Amino acid sequence: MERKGLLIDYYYCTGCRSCEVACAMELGIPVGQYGIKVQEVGPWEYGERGGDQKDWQLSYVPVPTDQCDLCEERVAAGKQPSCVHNCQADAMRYGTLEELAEYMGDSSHQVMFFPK
Amino acid sequence: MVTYKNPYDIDQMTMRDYDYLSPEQAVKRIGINAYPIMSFGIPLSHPDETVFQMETGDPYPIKGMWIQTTNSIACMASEPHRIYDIMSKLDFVAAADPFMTPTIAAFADVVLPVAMYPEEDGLYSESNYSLNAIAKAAKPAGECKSDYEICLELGKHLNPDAWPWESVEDFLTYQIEGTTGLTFPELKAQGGMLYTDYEYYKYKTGKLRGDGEPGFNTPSGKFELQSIFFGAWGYDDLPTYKEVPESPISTPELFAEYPLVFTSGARHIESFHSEHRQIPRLRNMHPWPELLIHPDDAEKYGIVDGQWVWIENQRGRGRQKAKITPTMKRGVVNADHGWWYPEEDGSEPNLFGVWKSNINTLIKFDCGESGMGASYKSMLCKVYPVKEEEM
Repeated sequence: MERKGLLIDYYYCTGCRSCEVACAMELGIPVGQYGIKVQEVGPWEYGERGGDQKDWQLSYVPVPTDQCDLCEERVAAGKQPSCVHNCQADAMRYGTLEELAEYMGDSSHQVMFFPK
Repeated sequence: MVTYKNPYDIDQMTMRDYDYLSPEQAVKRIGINAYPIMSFGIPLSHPDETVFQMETGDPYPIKGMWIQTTNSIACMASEPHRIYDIMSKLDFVAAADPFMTPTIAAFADVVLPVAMYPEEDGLYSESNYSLNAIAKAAKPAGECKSDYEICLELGKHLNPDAWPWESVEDFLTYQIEGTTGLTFPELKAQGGMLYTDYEYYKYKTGKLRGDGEPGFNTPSGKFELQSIFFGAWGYDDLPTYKEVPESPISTPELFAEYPLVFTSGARHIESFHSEHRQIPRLRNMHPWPELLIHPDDAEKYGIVDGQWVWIENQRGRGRQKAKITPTMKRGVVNADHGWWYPEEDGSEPNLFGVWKSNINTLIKFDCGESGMGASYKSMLCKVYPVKEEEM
């Protein structure tokens, strides 16, 4: 069986954490544990753009944990994984490396995870 | 001023309220003469004037209150201790809410439990072009009824002429059939969501105005930067700047004692105003009220990240956890609002810890000339660490 993974276009992740809740509700994960967790990278200022403009580092990246099973049950029923389905920014995709590779390079700030 | 028309217009009920006040009642509407805007287009009692009248009994006493889905002393009341004293004097208070709140625990003689979204039929419309059916999927728990059911039954009791609908479904159909041609069951059956086609340049085709003439829906038909309405009501008709009541500029002597500007009211993704503190998964994301402060200010006032701090001014204080972040402007702090602790004792005087972190304690009960709002976004304060014995 070909391995499946998640492509995350984190340029568009707003850090809303809908994926965290959708995942935990789907898999019945206890409060305080996660199947996917949004990581905040920043904020810090690192440069000047002239005028009042500054360059800031602030990214949000959802990272699947070892409790992620890529929603085996949902996928078997023909649905998308819960995090992908509920992503408010439509910034996540599910598929094989080959399928996901088609989207890679479309924009900057992308990352691919193969949690299982 | 530019007004626009909500294509699904489900707010039409508000305006009908005028029709059911007799001329004798209409002149007794609270605050009608206090602010010009109250005489035009807002068929309500003026909130601040209502509180003043509760306090003074002038020109007539207010003896009871109906509280529906609002948590005044935890959420939006500025000077909440004063509001607490005033509301405590009422003879009778009835409240309806899905949760027990500090406000209900403090004042209510009768509590009606309210059904949640999955337990009710209803409508939801953002004023931007979508209309959603809330479709009942489960029976309400216990004795709960939906807000719609409670209002309909109470309305029929108080004024049957104003509430001619036999059921909530009839009422929902009434709200949408004029603009959509659908009944509520039909809206649900076709998927429960309507979304209009965007149409541009409506000001050219007369589709923005009731009279069908081209232009915007303003008295002049123009996009009004100078508001004819505001001018006619005696307000400044231009959007001019006025310094806030308490600030480094307007009250330098206060600023000497309270050297930080504070703002409040920012939203968090996992809670809305005073809601959701009792839902474990959401609470876990943001377990305590946070005060955002710049690293330079934190150093200046001896504050470390994650420490409980008092935010205080001449009206009172509340405690929150400092979060040091370079995204705050130096000299300005941002405090969470709406905090109470559903896990704590709800009886008097604790009331779910509603006074502990209550940032509105610092805010002056004063809506200014316009008659709307208060200075929730701009007050002065000082910030200092909470001592261990004070926790």
